[in-house]
Amino acid sequence: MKSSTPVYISGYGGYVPRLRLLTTDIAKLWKGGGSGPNKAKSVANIDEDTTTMAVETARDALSMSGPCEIGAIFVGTESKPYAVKPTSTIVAQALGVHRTLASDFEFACKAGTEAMQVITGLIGSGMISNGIALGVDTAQGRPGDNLEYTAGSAAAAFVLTNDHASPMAKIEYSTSYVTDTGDFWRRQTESFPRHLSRFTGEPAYFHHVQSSVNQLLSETNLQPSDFKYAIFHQPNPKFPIQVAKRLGFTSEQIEPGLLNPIIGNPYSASSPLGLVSTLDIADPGDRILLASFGSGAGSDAFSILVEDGILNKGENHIPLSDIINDNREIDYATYTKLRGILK
Amino acid sequence: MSVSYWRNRDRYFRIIGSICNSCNYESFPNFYTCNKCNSEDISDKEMPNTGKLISYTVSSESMPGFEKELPMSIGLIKLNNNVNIVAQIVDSDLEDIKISANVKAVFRKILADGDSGQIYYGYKFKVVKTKK
Amino acid sequence: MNSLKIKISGTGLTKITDHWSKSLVDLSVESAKQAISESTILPDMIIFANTLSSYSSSQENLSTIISEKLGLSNIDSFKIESSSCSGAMAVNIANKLLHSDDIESILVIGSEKMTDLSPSETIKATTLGESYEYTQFFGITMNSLYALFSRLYMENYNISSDALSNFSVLSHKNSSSCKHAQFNREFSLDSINKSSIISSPLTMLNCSPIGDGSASVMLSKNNKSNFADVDILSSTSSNSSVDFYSRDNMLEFNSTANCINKSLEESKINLEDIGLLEVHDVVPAITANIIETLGFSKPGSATSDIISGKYDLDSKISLSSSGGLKARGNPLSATGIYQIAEVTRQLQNRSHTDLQNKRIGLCHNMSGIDANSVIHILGLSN
Repeated sequence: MKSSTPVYISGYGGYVPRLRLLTTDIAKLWKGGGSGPNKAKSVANIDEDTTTMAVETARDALSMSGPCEIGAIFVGTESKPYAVKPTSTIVAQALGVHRTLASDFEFACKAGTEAMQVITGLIGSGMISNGIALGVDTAQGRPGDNLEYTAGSAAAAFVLTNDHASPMAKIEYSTSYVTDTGDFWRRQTESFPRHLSRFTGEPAYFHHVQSSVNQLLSETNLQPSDFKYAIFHQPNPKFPIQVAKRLGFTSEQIEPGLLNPIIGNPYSASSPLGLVSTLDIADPGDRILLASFGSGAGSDAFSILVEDGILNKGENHIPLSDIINDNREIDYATYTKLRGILK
Repeated sequence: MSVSYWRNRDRYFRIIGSICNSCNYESFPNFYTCNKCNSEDISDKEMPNTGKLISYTVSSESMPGFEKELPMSIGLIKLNNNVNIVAQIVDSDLEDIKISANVKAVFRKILADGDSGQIYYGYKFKVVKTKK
Repeated sequence: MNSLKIKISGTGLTKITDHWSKSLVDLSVESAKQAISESTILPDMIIFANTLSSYSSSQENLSTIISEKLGLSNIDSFKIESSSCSGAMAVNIANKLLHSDDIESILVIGSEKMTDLSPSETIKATTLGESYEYTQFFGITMNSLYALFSRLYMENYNISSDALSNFSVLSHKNSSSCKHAQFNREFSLDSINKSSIISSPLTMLNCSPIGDGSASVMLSKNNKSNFADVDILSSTSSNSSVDFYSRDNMLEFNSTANCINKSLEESKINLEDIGLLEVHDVVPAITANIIETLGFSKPGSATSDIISGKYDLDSKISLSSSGGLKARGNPLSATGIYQIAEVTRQLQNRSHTDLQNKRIGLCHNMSGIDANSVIHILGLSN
């Protein structure tokens, strides 16, 4: 898919809560020792939630892009504080924006990139000039389940625009691929998701990511070597490395966007945050592949071309690595209090 | 509480106080008559989101609903426009909470009305550590 | 103001404690009956001072209810509320009303029931006088506001919180033999400093306690009791602002300052004439700042003055002779009336202390952090 009017990223932001839980603490409780596949995960504090992180990161993204007329605010999340009442309208109010589309999207971990797709379309059609796409989650894992090691919290936001004045990057092309595949799900009144263990691999993650990326490469005639960087959704540290290899991407290409080892998997923010991390170090002319995966299931793939504007991120921008490095470890007991597991 | 919150949400989300159009004196919370020159020509104004701590305390008792947030750090902040504000201090190590610390506003949950009521959001502040 | 001096012709007060078996009405009737009995007259009007009745007892129109329970249904009655200076404010209003021809006597009853509430509700109760929208809503407590002020005071004058605890030591020393006081024991400086932290740097024994109580005074143009005449030499009040942190100079208590100036002018007495001093001693730094604002100590010197014994019970000026808010207790709207009743009894030589030669007393009652202040100067008639 390619929009008829070019669409750019004019601003972006990333947010990771300060608190960290080491997976050795989780493993010690549930298995008597060892660790998870990742070293640590980010944990939202008692007064942080999807909405607070969405507001902070939207503000950061707008601080970079500069004031502009926003026509759409879409928050992709599976941890909405309200089952009914959009987070996006709270973001809109906090930004002082009212004449706008606003909605929350759900598609497991690809809701954020879904938001990017739709806003690209709205801008490309000329209906709006600018929009904010967010991927935000305070992911929950059932205590004692393997998911608990990686289920983390974070937010990423992108201001998308038709303004070609000096944007950060251009959305060159995108694809999307979906099937009805129930690898991971959460019923309406349940607190924690369930999953089908090893089934979440080949039939789910790998099939969909490979499908969307191969389709993108085929339709654009691009090779993996045409990309400087590649970001894949990261449910654990291993899957993105494996799918990169299968698709022909190297470990150097995926390294800047690989955050799961230190913050876990913040679901809808996972691959978008990888894009934030990569944009922080990318140069003009770099081409970036972004491929998300959402259970249910589907994958969005993007080809993103970095523009000259990336050299001027503005004095307010704090690199994601600095944000991630400012952290404080908590223990499992504090974690349960914060996550409200002990009622 | 819900309606009162709705009435004030812009003030809570964007720290909106007042500016006197006659003498430029700024105030938070908002006023109806200028405290300095008594003019009634007042407009809403968004306060700066950065400032310095001029006093602080760590409380071990709480208002109803805030029990899980103890101990709670509270600061008296002089914003960059010289207006003072009192707010919770979050995400800051205790040794960094001191007089003259630089602080910036953050958007946080203030209170949830149980599991089924509304969620109230607003401003808090956190210490900004200067880069070494 | 004409030269008519209104008299405190009767006093009544209950013990301040957790009165589990007494309601707000029970306590009010108890102290009211004492004041009526002492004065030997019936009032033409009842003014009821109270802050928490709807919050803690789901009850309004208490002035009517209490009048009825006292068998005084056909007189005027109403409630006054100005947060924790409601008590003194009610006396101030009564004093003004008594200057009209039609009214001979007014019974002022101040009552508060704080212990029916849960701990966190009690904390909200003490914070109700602060802005709901910008203080209570954000979970900021009254004690944390006191603590913010205390740290400013300490930084400004370079005084430690340990040194400030001397105010609490004196309060407990004075209340130990006072029957109606909430605390009847002394505490050492060390134990006050080591008590658990409520809101840093304020420790538990430096914060005034929660308790139930009621105090009443009968104000009248003539004194028909058996006790010596005590006149209201002046009764003044002044407002400033609720948010103390929005003031240009946060250590300036303008409400208290205006009040003392008006009081000295109205009463025509000098500060040196005052032998008994009751101030709104919620926490030590505020106590110190009040004393300095009133002019009894130089700015920053109240702490060293108290350490040197200037305000001891047996000195020229006795501070908190019944323990003050800290040790006698602080049932919000009753506090201002406890102060007046206690000073009256001290002047009449019928209190737990044996202070001789005390002729004039000053009672300072306050809401918030100098949001409003009310000052009464009471003196023995010549």
